[in-house]
Amino acid sequence: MNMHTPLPQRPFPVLEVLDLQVAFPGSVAVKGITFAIEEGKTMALVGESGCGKSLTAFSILRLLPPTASISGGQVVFDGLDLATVSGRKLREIRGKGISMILQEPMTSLNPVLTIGAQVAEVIRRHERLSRSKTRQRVLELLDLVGIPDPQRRYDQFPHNFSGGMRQRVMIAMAVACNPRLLIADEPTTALDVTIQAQVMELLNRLRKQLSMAMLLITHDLGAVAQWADRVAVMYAGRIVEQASVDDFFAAPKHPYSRGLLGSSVGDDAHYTRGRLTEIQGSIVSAAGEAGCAFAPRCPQAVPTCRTAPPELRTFNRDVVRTGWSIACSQVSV
Amino acid sequence: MRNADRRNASDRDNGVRGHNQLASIQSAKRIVRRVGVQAVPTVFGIIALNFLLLKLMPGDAADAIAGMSGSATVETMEALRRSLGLDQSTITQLIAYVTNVATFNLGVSSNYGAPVISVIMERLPNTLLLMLSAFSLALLFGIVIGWAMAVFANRWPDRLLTTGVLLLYSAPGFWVGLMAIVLFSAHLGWLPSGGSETIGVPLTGLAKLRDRAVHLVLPAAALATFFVAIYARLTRASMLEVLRQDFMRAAAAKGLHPIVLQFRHALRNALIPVTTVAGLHLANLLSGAIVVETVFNWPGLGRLAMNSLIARDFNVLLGILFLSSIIVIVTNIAIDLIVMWLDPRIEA
Amino acid sequence: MTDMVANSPTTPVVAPTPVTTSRSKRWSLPAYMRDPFLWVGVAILLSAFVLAAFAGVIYPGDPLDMAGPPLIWPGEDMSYPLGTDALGRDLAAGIVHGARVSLMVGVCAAMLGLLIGTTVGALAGYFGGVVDNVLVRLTELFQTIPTLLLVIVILAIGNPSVPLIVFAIGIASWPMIARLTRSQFMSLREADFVMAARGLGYGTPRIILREILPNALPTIVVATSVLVANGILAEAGLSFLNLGDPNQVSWGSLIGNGRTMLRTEWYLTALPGLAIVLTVLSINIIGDRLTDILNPRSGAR
Repeated sequence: MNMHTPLPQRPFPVLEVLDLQVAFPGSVAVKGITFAIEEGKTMALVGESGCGKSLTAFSILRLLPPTASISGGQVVFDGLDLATVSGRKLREIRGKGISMILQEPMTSLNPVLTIGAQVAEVIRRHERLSRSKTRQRVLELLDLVGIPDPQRRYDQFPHNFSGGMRQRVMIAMAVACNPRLLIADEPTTALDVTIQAQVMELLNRLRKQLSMAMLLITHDLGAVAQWADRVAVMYAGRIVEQASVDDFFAAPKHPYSRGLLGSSVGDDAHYTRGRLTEIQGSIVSAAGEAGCAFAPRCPQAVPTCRTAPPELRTFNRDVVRTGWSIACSQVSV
Repeated sequence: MRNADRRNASDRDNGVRGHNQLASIQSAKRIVRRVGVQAVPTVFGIIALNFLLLKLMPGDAADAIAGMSGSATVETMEALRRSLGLDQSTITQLIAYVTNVATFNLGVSSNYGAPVISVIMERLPNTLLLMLSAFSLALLFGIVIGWAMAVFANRWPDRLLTTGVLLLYSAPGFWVGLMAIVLFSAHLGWLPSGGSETIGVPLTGLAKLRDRAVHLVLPAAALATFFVAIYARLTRASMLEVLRQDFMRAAAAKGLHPIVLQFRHALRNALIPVTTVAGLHLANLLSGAIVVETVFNWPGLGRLAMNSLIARDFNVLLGILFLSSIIVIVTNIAIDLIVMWLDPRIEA
Repeated sequence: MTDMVANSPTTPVVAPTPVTTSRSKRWSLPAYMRDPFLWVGVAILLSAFVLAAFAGVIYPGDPLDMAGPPLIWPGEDMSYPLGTDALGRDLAAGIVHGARVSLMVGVCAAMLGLLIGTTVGALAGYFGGVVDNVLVRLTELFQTIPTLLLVIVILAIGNPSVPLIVFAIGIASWPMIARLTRSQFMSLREADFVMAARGLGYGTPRIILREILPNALPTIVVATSVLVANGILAEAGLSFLNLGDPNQVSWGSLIGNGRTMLRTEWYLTALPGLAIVLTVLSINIIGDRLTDILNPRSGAR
């Protein structure tokens, strides 16, 4: 992976992930990825199921499943490496410096506590406010995220809320302490189509209001185009392309990215115009690949592609976080 | 706890209070339904079963009374039977029996010559004390052990505890009691080997309490062993299920301390299935109490049942059967209420 | 939202599965077979059955006969390896013969409970409605009555004998199986293969017995192990209380007999109890492993 030298005159990123590796016993799921998120900007991490994007998100706050662990790399936030920082320090950052919303609103709230208590919990954890002030704050937050009649809703339980409402509660919990970075793991995947747009709009509005950076994990390229500033494409545990959203959607360079954009349904798609362009083959277990993991399905593959993993090369700038990076030996700019 | 927010009475407005009133009405409806639809038919079923068993018993009430008085002629027996209503049709007898039992008139003990109800009531508190102490012990230790097993799941502490728990599950309670007597009473002399209190020494106040407690330790512990195993396994499974849930990760993402996560989030949820199932074992607990009482000469219903069996005192036996079932039903309803309080998802 | 990658119809999308635990679904030496506990359990249980079967050969004669001097400690005299009791009866002979009654009562009572329980549960689960309501009430009734009390009352009616004890324990233990069977049938009766069977015109008895029951069997088999274990424990309790057959020796009766010598010759109560513990333990271990095999769940071992 490419090591970069940070240039001092650029504004420092909120979060820098450097060569992060996440492993299970017996296999490596995230094989060394590097990216950075600027203050107040949205970075989208896209990829199909199983590419390791959710694991990446979890590893930032060390919320991995019990058998997984960070086997290498750094996660730099506020001058600290979150991958190795003490548990105590990490817990201070969770919910306050960096917060997270999860994919499944139906199961992300504790069923036996009122939602008011659950939102108040994160405030009480990080700030010293009186009881009544805390409640006040919670009501404001509930109002902020668009929950009607917050007074009544405060004492209700999660099962009284619909999926979309629960996701709003999650968002309220996440922004309660004004974090600098919000990690959103597929925030709208489990919601109805009509609610999805509302929730994304809410997120975006809050982000601007509170000057928050956001890491958006998604497989929805439409959402990426609409809401993100930069995009990183993951495949089989590696980042294969990273660019600004404008550059990316104008002309993706990596064969996988091109396949993705080619296979999504655009405005002018009609079944009579021909099939969707497919990416042949299927994602294989990332465990045993010696060369580029995408090589078996790549229309541009040459024999050398199978022997060595391609380097992530950066164009246009010499810094990974703002340039255009591509991991493919067949691409030139 | 969620109640922390309820203490802010000054902050609440009428809308919220109204909602809680509605919830209480629904709880009351649910209790009534539970008692009416489930408990009452069961009670009648038990009474009917009792009647059936009574009819199956060799001899009848007239024989018992005649036996007590020494002898009787055929004519006096017939007169006796008529006066006791034993010559009536079975249905009439059943109705009479049901009315009697429902008003807790359980007949007269042929062995003690006293009303069954008073004979039983003398000893009932002792058995209840034993049962409830064992129940609490079992729940407490079971939950703690099960929680520890879940936290260290599949690592050596878990494996060790699992083996221990399996051993507890496989040992008969009365044998554990006997071995405990050998160790703690005969060899170490720490605890008494029987009875519910020291006789012959009048004690009052704290000393008396201590004396009773010391006598309670071994029997309650022996009775509890089997159920510690059950609750431990249940808690373990329930905790593992809860720890996998999304909301645990969401709670951790808030920066909460692991202790808070374990108690306020994990255990609170994990205990709901445990409490729900706890009630199912109350009947078994009572059964176990009978045997343990024999081991420790505990003056409760168990000893009474054994004595009545030997003396063929059927009225007392059936009375014990009936009352034990009532105890089980009542405690089950109490547990239902606790579960309803714990789990806000249960609504009428 | 459609997933980003539309694959060709013939290749399924397979997410990479992290190769984690040693628990594989292939049938070459599955994890459970490598478990030493399981083999120990099987060994103990088999020995118990062998001892019970060949009791008459190993220790011919009546174990209740006097065999030697009284109150010999185990290990003192090797012709009485486990010692003798107050009446000079050989404890080892007692334990070997006692295995017969204890195991037989446990197994037979379990079978009876199984029979009644599966019938009640199957009927309740399959038919639903009024039948279900009535049967559920019946099940609850028997679950509310404390087992031992019911057994004592039944024994008060008749004379204590092994068949009566088997009957009494079986009667008291069927509710658990009934509940289990009922929930299994309730979920299985909605299954597609049942609909298919009905469509083929199969009668109800055939559907219950040949279609649904085999599918419910794994859960029921596991529950049976618990039933047998509890049956053995129940029999032990009964014979300890001298409610058993007075002419038969069982582990419980040995404990009861030794109780008078508890403080001094405590081996008389310890050793038969140990036999019970080991046997029931092995049944529980086997039952646990069966549960793991039939319901594999991550981390729920």
